[in-house]
Amino acid sequence: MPGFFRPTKHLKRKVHPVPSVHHSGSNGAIGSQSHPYPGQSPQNKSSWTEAPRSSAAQETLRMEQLQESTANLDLQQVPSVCPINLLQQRDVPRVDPTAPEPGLSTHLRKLNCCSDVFQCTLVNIPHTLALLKQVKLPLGLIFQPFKDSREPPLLITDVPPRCTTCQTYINPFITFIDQQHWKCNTCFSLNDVPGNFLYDPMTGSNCNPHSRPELQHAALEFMVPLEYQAGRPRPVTYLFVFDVSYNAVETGYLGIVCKTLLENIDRLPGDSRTRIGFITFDSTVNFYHLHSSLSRPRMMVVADVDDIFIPSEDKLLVNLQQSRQLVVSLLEEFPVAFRETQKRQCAFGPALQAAQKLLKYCGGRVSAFLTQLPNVGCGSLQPREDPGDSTLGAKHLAPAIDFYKVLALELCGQQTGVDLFLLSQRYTDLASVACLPRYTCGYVYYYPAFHHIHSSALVEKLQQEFQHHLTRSIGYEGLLRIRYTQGLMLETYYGNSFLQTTQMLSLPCVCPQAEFAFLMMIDGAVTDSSFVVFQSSLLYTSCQAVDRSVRLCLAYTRDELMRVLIEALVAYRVSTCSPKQSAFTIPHSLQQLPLYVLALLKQPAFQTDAAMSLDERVFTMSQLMIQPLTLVLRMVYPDLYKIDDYLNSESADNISLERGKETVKRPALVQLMAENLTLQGAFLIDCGNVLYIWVGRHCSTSFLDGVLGVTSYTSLPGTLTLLPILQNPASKLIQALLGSLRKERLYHAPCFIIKDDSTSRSVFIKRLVDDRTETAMSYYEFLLHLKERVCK
Amino acid sequence: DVSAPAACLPRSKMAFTFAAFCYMLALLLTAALIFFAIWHIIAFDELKTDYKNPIDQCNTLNPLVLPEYLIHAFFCVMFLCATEWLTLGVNMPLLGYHIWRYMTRPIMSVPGLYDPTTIMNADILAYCQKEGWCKLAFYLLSFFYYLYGMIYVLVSS
Repeated sequence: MPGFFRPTKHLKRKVHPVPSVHHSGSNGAIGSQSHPYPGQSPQNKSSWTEAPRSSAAQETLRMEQLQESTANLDLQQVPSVCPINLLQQRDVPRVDPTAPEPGLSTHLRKLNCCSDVFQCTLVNIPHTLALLKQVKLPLGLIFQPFKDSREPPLLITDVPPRCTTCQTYINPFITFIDQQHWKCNTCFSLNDVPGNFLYDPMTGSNCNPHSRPELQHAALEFMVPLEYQAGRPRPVTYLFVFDVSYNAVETGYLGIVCKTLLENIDRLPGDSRTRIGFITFDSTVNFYHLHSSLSRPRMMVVADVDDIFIPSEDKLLVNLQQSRQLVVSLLEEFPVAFRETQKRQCAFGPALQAAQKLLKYCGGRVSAFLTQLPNVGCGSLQPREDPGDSTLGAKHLAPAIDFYKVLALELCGQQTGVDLFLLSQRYTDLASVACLPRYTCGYVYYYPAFHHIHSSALVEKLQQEFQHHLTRSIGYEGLLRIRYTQGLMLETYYGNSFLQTTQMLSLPCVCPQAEFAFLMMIDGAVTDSSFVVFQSSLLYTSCQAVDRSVRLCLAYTRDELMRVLIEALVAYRVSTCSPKQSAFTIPHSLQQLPLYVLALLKQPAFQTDAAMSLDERVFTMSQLMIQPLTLVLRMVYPDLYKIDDYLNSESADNISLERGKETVKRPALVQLMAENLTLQGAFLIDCGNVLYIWVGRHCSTSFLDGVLGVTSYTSLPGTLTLLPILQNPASKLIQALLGSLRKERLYHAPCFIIKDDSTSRSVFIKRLVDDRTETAMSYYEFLLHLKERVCK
Repeated sequence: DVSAPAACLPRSKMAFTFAAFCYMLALLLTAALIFFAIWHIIAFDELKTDYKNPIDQCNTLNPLVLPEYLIHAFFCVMFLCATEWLTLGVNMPLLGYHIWRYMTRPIMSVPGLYDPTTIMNADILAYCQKEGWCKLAFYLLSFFYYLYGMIYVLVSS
């Protein structure tokens, strides 16, 4: 690799390129100005809208005004718009996803909602659609409504007052017109101030309405009165659908899953009314009577898969506490009972139809396990994968039949969520089957080539993920409504859910990791106020509470990616510099953008080599779409840490990661280049869904001995192995670090060891995004390429 | 005109030719098509203002799609048999559009064009509304055109 110029000093200041709407609660205000310097979004989650350059007279006027104003303003003073020449500053600092702040006054910023719950892609909102189109960056909101954020919502007792026209809850950003009226900031209509805001009955004196909790905090949680509830909330119901065909027994997942379920059966969220049920399927569908009056569980086989009927609901879905003994004995029997099966068909469709009928009146959560292509009854699929296909199966990335989509919509209407565990060695048409979790706010857990003996990493992953799946907190029957200032319009939404009305998502089963994004358009002009407020309210039934509560929280592709990046940069260039300047400048807040676009282009989902199976491609694409922002950032551009001297706790950042009560110091981050890998060191790379430790040839023996458990470098195995858990302080420290990295993630990330000269070395090397590979450019080359396209 | 069932009538009087019959039938069926177009417009407006659920709305809209296309195809066949080339030419683009629209519909097991999971996207909703209005305009114009055509054919025999 040619030696490039390296700057002598590193940027110490943390940059905040991801604009976030700081909602310290439900609502976030973003300063709206006619400033075309928005923040950046390092994500390209979907196909982008075509945005031709507008040349209206009003537009050009604004551009001129801007050029005048920038001439007077010393751009170096304003950090977020200071231009940077990327070719000279190669060490791009790392993205911190909890930044940047929207362009607001400090007072409002304090009131804003916490940024790890709600984020916006632009720091300042343009006034008109034409201006938005000119900057060629998307205006979107990203939020995790149910997250256990570091600033949890405040619990209050009464329902906050709502605007009479648009039903928006009162929030810290409304304006009081006079003593008696307040102006809603979404529809700008006037409402009366309710009595208890002005007059405090406890002390008997007038109080300042601004001291009410609804106006001080932007994240609130409260119980709703009976008129929101249609009858008493239903008990939580868990239904497990197991594949017990010959294929399933081959993989051996049933033993692991039953054991994990037995260990965690008392930690399932719920109360004394929690219900549980089981269905198994191979070529027939089997139900289990578990009523407490029976002495042993009884199996009932329904052979007619074309017309499934349910034997008797109350015996199949039983109260967990009353029938606990039967459930335990059933789970112990399962792995043994089907050991000798020879049935090779899979009636997945009929089993799910049975599940749907069973849960028709009560809703709940279905955890379905599948190990082969469904081939019996309704919902059977054809193998569509063709290894010799030169288009890499592009037309097979969409569902083949709509059976699963229709079923998912019906389940959504019944408030049932489905989570799918796919443990197959062959093609299972994930594209069609994944519709099920996608529209019911569930997740797909994908274990390609799972085997209970041969793939120990996947076994550990299954155990951890299933345990997390069983024990995480859930909200049922969720309805997420989003309200925003007049002048904006929702264009598309992303995330696993179903859009019921233009502003409401139906979430049968919402978990803390669920993240959604909305792409907004400006419809008309946002001129009536200087702020844009977004409010999201999630109405859900908690599994313990008897009432519902509301959480208010106020956030053909490769060429498309390149085109959009270039357009954004050209737009910046045209509006600020004169064309004679040949330096390739980029706003400070967008400086990570080329790096992330390059990293995204190198992602497996966008790769054009044929080494990936169709299912895997569908899975990685869906992961990019639905994972929370922080995880996607790591997947795209992994974090690389030097850990061999971390044990001496000398070279740590001042950033601490929390894990439970202790804080763990995070080791220093290193840029993703092979020249940073030294032979004396060991490096940890955090790729979101997997972790690798790369061990250099001359790594210190204390590290080898303490953490890896081997005496010398040569005794390390040449293939990927899992990191052992040892009982010495060095290993404990590393495990604490890994634990803090893995915290709060939906998918468990196994940690592998890779030697410098092992055969699996390429797995690690291809993650070094800054470097050049056979098919892709290095970062510097990419910058030069961009410069040519932008500065011509 | 050999396909005229009333070819034995003297030429000087008004002749009830097959073409006239076609136009008359077309008039009646265009009224039905106008009704369908208005139904579509109202349905999408209801979706946009959150009055109705997309699943229910799609279940009412989808069964109407194929009958509308088949009626229009029937017109074209009729005018072909009646050798009314101008009218046929006017209807051909719409026939082509219908064929294209039906070929590029999302994967569905029931006949229809609208998928509840994608219909709420703003761009698809806006497209369908525009389509509804354009079709209404077209069917209204063709109604008057067939009326004129019928009288013309009846009179100028």
